[in-house]
Amino acid sequence: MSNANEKLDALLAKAGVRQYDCYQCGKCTGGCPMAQAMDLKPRGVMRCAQIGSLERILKSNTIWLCTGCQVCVERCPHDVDIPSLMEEARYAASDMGYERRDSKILNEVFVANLKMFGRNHEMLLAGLYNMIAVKPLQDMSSVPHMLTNGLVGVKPHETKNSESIKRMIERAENLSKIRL
Amino acid sequence: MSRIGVFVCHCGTNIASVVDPDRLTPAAREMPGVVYAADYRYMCSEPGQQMIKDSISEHGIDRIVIASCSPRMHETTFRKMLKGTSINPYMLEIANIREQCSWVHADKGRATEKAIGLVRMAVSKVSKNEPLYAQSIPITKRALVIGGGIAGIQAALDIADAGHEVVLLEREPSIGGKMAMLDKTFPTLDCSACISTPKMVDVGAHPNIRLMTYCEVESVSGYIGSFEVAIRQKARYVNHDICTGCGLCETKCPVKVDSEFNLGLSKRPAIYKLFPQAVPSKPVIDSESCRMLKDGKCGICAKLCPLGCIDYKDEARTVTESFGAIIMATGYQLVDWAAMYGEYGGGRYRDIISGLQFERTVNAAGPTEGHILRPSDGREPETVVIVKCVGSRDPKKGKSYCSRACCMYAAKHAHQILEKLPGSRVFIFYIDVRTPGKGYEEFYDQTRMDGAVYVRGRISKIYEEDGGLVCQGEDSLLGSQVRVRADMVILETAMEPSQGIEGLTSMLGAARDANNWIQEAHPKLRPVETQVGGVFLAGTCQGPKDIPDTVSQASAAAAKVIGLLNKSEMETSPMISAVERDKCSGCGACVGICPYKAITLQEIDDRLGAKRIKREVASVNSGLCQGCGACTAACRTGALDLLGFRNGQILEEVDALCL
Repeated sequence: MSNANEKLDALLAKAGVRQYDCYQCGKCTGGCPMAQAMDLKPRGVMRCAQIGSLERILKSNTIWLCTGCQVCVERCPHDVDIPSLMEEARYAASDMGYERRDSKILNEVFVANLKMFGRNHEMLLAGLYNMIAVKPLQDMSSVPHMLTNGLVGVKPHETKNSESIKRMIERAENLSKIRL
Repeated sequence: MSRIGVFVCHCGTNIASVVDPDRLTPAAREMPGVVYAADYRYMCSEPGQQMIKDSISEHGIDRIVIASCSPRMHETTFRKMLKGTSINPYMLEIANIREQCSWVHADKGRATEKAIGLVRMAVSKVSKNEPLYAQSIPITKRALVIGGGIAGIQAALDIADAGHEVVLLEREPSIGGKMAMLDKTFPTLDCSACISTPKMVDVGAHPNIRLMTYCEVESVSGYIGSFEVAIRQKARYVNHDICTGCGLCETKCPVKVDSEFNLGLSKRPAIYKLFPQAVPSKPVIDSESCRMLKDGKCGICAKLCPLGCIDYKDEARTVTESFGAIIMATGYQLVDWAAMYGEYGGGRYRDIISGLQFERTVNAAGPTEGHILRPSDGREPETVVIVKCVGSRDPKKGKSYCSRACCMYAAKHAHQILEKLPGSRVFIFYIDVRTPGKGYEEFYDQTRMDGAVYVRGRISKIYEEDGGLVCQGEDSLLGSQVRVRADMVILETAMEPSQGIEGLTSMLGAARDANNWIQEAHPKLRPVETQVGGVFLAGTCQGPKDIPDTVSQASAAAAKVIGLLNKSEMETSPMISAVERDKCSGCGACVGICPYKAITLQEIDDRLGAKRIKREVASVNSGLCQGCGACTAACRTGALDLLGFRNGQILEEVDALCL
């Protein structure tokens, strides 16, 4: 227990978050664009931090769904930096092997995509992800709508210097502890 | 050589069970200058005091040390006792061996050692004491109440009823304040105007009250008992001596500007009464919007007035008045939420109104004659969202404090909507519901029974969609996001101190807290006084509060003022700063540092060699000085010293402890 608390304290310190600043008003969750898909809402993450339940945070899908849009911290009356907490929680979850398989696949496909085109190719991203994650029919129904409205394209977007982006990512891979 | 007597108190067992009097008393007897030492079970009791008095005459004692409880507890008691003896009351030192020794230590031996040290310090200090004499200052039997809201009205009436003269000063054209704007008051749902306007009329008619509306304080000088206040009467452009308040002048004025009283929900002419029940019930001309005053073209009101009251050449005048006491009752204003909350539209959506605007809306004398209608299209709303804590409990964008009254008036607003609009729905978004008052919890319960839906969560965002307002937040008890489509939104916004509080408190020398509310002298034991003698507090200028608390505080402040004005003169503490003019270089460092504005520079005649010169030296006003000692620490030449706590006396104590 104390070991877990130390881990939580270290994580919070790194994120620059004091868990007792939060008085659970829920303004973060109220504005969160991803809240509906999260199994633990942003306010719940703060509650877990207050009661010392690090494991619930790390095993939640919340930390992987957070887009880091900053709406929660912008509106928080106490300026609690939840996106930063989510970021640190993602590192901790990866270290402890809690990373979700689907999140891992998405990250890998995304980076591979960047290496190929220098920019994200949505169609390929969705296709590859669905194949590898064995969800081949997911999102199929929305494909016609997205294609006809120009929301995704069949052809990848062109970039001026995709080679340099590729080199950049490879350097990052070598330098950082991020396992892709 | 001084002849010191030391008296050790057992305080029953409070002191004696830890500090050993049988060691302390003999040790005291050996200290330099001590001619007599004794101990007793209760020094403060009648026999204890008699024992001290007898010893003084018997042993020729000229100064005493009493080792007992804190000086806060019984220093005054023993000073009073000394008045009947040959010794000056200030030839006394208290060694606190209870609160600072026996109560906080368990080790008897070491506690006794410490008590001996404390007594040794007091003995050294008292050897340097000098007789001090209190001065008495005369008291002007007249009070000034600044602010004509319910707090000022109540305080003025109480003081006037006690037989003292009062000037009630208000900067708006009418008294009444915020309470006059409210529709009903929680938790009894009394009509606000029905209970406040009779008091306003009483103020106007009271023989002891002089009403000064449309006036502002320009400067304050003096001190408790004799304040000199310069009051600026703003130009009214209407001769109130002959005006009967018939109201004819207002009818044809071509100017229409936003009504302050209705918070922009209706218009008023340039010549206007603040509201129909205004006291005094006579109009003023708003010089910023009057065409005649701006461009010299119009003059309709002057032509209409049957008595010739209109005087476009009227000018502001300043009068100086004397007062013995001042009550601050300057009240509050609501925060400018639109400037703080972009996520609530920042003022773009007309159907988001403040709680006070709702009060005007629901009031029968208001712009909609009491019909609850949306400002945008005048339709009755079917769904209303009430958002609490807008600007309150929000250290980032607003105020960190709770505004105290909003929980209750939010419940009242919900009740009024559900009562006036059958079939309507009301959602109240809250973080906590706070109802600590008589009948308050019951009122909240009733509102929930009425059908108001309380949702625990702070609204995150409000946006317009298809002519409605979508309020998005979290139902934090369910743990899920909610969206409510509302026709109207009421924001219960935070209170903040009235505009101008900084200038006024600086003039008086009264302190403000971190949020600019006026600081009380002690949060529990002196809640209606400021730390400036003779300046008292009533109502929300001290912090957010509701009407019952405001009225209680106003009466309490009035009681303090009456007590003061009942005396014809009062004694001041002689433990104040004194200037040694020879040492003073006139640098003025003390003038700026004095929190009570008690020090001024005074020109004196002096000699420099054979030459006669004039130079400036510090001069301490004994009525204003509170003996804090800040100036003595700031003084570069050591010219300032605090009587009763001279630097020499304190160093003597330090030496006694360390050498």
